[in-house]
Amino acid sequence: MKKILTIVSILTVAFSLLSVRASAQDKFQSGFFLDNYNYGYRLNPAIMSEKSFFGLGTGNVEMGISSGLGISSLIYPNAAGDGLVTFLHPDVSVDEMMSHLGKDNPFGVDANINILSVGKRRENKFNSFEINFRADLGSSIPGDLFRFLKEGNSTDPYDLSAFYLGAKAYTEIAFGVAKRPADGNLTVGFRLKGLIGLASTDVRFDKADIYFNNGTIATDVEGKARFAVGGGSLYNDENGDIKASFNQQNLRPAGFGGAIDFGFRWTPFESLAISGGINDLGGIFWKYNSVAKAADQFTFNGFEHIGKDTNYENELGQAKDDLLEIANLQVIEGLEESGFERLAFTANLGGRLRLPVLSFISVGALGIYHFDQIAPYWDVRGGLTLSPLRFISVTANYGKNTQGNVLGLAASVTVLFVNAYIGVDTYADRVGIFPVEGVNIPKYGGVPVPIDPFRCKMTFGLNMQFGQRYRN
Amino acid sequence: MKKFLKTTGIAALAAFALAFSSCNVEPAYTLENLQNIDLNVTLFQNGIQLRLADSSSVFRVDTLMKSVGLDSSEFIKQGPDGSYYISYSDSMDLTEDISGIGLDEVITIDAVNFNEDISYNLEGFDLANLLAIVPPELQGEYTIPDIHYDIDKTVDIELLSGQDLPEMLVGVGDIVLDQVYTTVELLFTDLPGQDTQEYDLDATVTLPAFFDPTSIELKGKIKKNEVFSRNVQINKFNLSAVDFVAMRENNTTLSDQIVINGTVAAENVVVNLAGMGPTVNGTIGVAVADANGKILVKSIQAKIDYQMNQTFTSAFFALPEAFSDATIELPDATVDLTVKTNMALPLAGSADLKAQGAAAAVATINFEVPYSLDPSVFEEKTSHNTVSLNDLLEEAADSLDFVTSIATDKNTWCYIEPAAEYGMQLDIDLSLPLAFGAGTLIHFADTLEIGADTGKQIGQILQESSIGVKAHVTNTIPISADVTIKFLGYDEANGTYTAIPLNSPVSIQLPAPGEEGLLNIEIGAEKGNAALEKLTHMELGIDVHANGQALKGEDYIVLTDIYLLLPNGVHLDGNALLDQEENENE
Repeated sequence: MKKILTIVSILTVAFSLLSVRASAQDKFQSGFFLDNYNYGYRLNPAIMSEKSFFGLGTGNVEMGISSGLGISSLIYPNAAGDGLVTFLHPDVSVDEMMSHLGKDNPFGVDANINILSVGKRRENKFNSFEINFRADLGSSIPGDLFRFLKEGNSTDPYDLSAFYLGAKAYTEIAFGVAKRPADGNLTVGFRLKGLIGLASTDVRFDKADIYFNNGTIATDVEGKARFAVGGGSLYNDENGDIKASFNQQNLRPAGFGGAIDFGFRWTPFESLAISGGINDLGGIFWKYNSVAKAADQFTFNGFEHIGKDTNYENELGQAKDDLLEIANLQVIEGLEESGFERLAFTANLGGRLRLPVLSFISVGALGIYHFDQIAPYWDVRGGLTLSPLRFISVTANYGKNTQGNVLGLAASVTVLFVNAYIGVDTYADRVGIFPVEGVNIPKYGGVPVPIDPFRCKMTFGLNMQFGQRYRN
Repeated sequence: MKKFLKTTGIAALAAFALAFSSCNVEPAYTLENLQNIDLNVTLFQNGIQLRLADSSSVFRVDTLMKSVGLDSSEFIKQGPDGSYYISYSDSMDLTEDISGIGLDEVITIDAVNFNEDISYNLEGFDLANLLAIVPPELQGEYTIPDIHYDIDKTVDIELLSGQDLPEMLVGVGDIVLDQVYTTVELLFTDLPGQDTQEYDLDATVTLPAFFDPTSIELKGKIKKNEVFSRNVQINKFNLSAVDFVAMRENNTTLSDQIVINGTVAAENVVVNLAGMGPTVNGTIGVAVADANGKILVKSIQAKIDYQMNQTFTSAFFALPEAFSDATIELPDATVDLTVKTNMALPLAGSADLKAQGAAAAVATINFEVPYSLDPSVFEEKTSHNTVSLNDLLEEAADSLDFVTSIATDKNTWCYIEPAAEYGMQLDIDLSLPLAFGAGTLIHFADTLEIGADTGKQIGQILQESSIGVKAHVTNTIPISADVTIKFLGYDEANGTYTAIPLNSPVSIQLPAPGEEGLLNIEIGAEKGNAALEKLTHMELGIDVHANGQALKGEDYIVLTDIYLLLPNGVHLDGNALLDQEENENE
């Protein structure tokens, strides 16, 4: 056990130092508390499903959205407290607005669609095989962009380096094993994942300082955009705008990679299980077949030599070229790069306890940390699970994460051999009631929408269970 | 498909909302408050300085001028003091025209060559009488105390033909020659006496009066059958007394005489009377030429009557039609004409500026030509002229003719070295401050099509709320402006426009130079008025006034405290905009 933890620790540190990345992908935490849920091994490979199962197409669908920018950062109560004003209203000071914004304000959506999943459960062993399509879009809006809109001219430079846009799609082929000794109480498991990259692009700036001062503009920009898709490439058109072209005959994977999940589950007593795991230790080697760069320092405060012989046409043309080069990423013809993109990995630790007499009730706690450069977060929550019948389970959990209060709800039911489940990990903080035409939620008179930074994960699935049911 | 997407979207939103149904409702973010957000916003609290004139601004002068149809990028300049001016420059190179004159052919002089027999009688000694009194048997050798012959020879020469003279040549002064010599050769074949008998030659060759020098002395000893030769370099011909105009008109030639006279004498000459005749014979030759048998001219002083007229057309600009009724006061322009040349020609010239095809000149620019006596040195002379651009503006067209006239002073000597390469360049620099006079009033009015779809959207917005912008404006640009906007609906059936009723006219004032003001645009209408949806066009009127000062680089417009009055439910129909662009492209 100690050896395993040591190896895991070393791997964690090593991956943290590797190339950084951004992701909106996280895990469906409520699945940890839910019984009769086949995909608990995704959070912890040592968790075995209760029965063997088979899913095709509808086995598991996960969709997530996260936003580090809340509506309360953009719309504020007015001074009188009887109305709302926008962040651009003169009553909202720059300092107050910036206190609601970060240097970067991430926003992301992700999807994980299961194409095929098979799980085979024996009493002390569980094997799983999955093919998933995963897509991820992450972005970040610099807080200084809002400051510029509100301030205008300022001698303080505007740092827009937090701007980020990344997207990728890949296929995940995973094989998992969980095993415990026949007379033991420690289950260990792992999942090996082969990753086939379909497409990836990211745009990021190491430096993007912009100075506005009495009509003069100075910039210091270092940025790069990379684009990986088999059969596709980027190019600058005659206007300098970046365009993409595709040749369907050359379609091929844009990258390959792999990842591994580790997990353990310790049951010192039959009613108590303590478990932990690390997910997505790995990454993808992308072959970026188009690279565009923006790297320039530029100051434009008028022409230096003004006189009869000044060639304004040339000077203005040069200035125009420089501005275009900064404003638009320029594709570097013929430049290809290979790069390793680390997946954002997650570490979790939790425990569940079945009540002694009322064994259909269990309580638990789960904490996770998501190692993400743009939007790292932690999440701690406690949950209550009711499983009155072995084929029915409902759970509710509540806790806190980086952004505030969180709530999780999930339920699963098996009718005959068909297992269905649905769940949501969601925001549990302040909401505002927004008017949306055609939608009227009873009790609210409108649509409740989070007003603070939030994240939400929804999942549902339909698969077939078979074989004998085992208790974890 | 749209219905499906809409249904799916509403379902997803409802599910999303249900997920938050357990959350606390923040009292400030109630449905009522969120439906009535105060949308008055202020952008750029510290201000955004729009330097309309500064090169660092995207709102450059040339950009603005392009927007009204004036492509000024080629002739808008900025002076050292930061003020902008319009500068137009061009040049004419007349070198080819000058070389076409063929200066090396202005004066062509043929070499002079003649060689004629001479025969002179013995003077002072009666040989016939002596032979008569001396018996033949006694006619042997005798010593004659004095024998001399008088030499007198005149030869006509022709130097120039009138028909070869160029039209422009009205007079010639000094023609400096290059290594040209006059050579005289005298030969006697039968001088009495022994072959070794020497005679004293004392003669003078008188050259034409325009030669320099005009004579050659022939003095020395001469023997029988030995050529006596003398030469002298001819420095120049001075033809100032010659009427070349008459020569050309009468087709006469420049001719003169070379006269040789003098004596050949000897004393105590031993002669054989039996073989002695009464005359002495020989030849005399004269050549005026250089070593190659030519007369090369190094330089000429000439009087030339030459006129050259050339029209040079350059791009200019015409005011767009929108300014046809504008009152525009422009300052006077400075037009510098700089002539560079290595010629010594008494030239004067002028350039008439006129719209292409126009009969009368709007302005006349005079210029002087420098005088260079050394063809290797180009002299430059600039002539300053002031031109009233208000007159020019009335004639302004897409192109402007510079009708140039150049004429020589035919009473003043030109100095020409035919072998030199002469050139002349005429540079034109037009400069005027980028300013409008204080009386300027430019009224621009146009009816712009908004589009039925966009107009309808604006109308729908105005049915529910007002839109507008308020900002504090500081202006140092030497113009002020009043802008008015009217919304119109176009009735295709009748071809008429109907004014869309607004609560108040939309009027915008750009403060006068050096002043501050409030920019207040608020567009509001009677709520629920269905006529607003018929909005299709916008009538835009702009009145620009000026204070007569030139635009400078540091002039600016600063907008601070920008308030936007936004309507509820504003949205842009991207498809409608895209369709409109595609239609325009088509």
